[in-house]
Amino acid sequence: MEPVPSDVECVARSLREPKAFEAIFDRHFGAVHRYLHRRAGRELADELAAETFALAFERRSSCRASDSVLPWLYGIATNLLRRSWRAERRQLHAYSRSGVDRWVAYEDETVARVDGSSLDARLARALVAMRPRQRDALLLYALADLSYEEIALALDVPVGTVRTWLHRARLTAQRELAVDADSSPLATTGVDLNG
Amino acid sequence: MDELDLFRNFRRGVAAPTTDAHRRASVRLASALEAVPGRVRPARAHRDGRRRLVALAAAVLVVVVGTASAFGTVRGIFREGQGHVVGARIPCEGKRGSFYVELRFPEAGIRSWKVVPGTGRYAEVTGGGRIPQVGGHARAWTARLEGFLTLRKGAKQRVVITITGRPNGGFALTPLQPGVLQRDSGTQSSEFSG
Repeated sequence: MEPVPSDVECVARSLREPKAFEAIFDRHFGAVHRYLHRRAGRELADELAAETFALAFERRSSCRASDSVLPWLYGIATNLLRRSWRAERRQLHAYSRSGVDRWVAYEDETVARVDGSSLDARLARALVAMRPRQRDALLLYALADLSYEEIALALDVPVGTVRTWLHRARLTAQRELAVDADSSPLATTGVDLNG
Repeated sequence: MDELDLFRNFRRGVAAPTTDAHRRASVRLASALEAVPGRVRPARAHRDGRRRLVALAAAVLVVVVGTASAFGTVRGIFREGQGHVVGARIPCEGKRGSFYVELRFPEAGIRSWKVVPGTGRYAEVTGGGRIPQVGGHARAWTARLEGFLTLRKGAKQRVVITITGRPNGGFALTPLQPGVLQRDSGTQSSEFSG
């Protein structure tokens, strides 16, 4: 049985045989789509995920990954997301106020209502308070499970910069989570009990 | 727990992509695979100081579409020492006459074009040049041809020819210098698919 080629081998081979890039798509489309869905909603995720892979194919010769190309793909997706950061910010604002996350497709609407916790609403408020690059780094860390080094690769910045961004994101989160619950009743109840 | 880890909560409940989204993305990628990407950019240097990697082949032209033999006006030529060359002959029908442009995409080297005389004003036109820009696919496909054209009894004139759309689309010929050759536009059928 032939060994399964690694991501890097597939990308290298796609320079000669473009079809080889389809393996990258098959392996990582789901993960990239879920990341984009979480950040920008399903409709935009459909569009941006497709664009991410088309763009990745065009730029495959500049891929510097040494193992998985997923961080590189997340980096492209994150850059594409910058065009829609206002939409993301609006959504986070709404989420922090209502506690109901409308961009997540729950199978049961009741679950959506009950699952919206006060903590999530405050986290959304913290994300709104962060600078875009700090938010990018944080969500690559938390949603995409990337290490600091992988985030640096994805965003094309030094690891030290990633550490700085995440440190500042942490401070913002601490500050927002420490806000007195009474100051924002809707955010802290989280669940819309009246439906 | 680290505050940053709290944000992992945001992963909950996110649905997998739909079959339709997967299919559409797959089609989008397929069109990128088939499109002419032009030159593959050189790889960027690694931060650790290793020697800069130059892209495997500076100018890989990926085709135009599937196999060259499938297209009447696109042909593949193999010459020893030159690598694979894809060429396309595009008939252009303008208001002042018709002519052909032959595009040449070598695997490595300069993309070039030359004009083939046709009818009307262009019955005895000669010239050619380079192709600094080509890309896109289907109706968004575009190629910018820069070079010089000469009409009989006329001086050489610098021109730009812009070709858009495939398999059918338009072209615009714009002289950049005064002379007997005048601005013209019309239709073309590049017969590239994709």
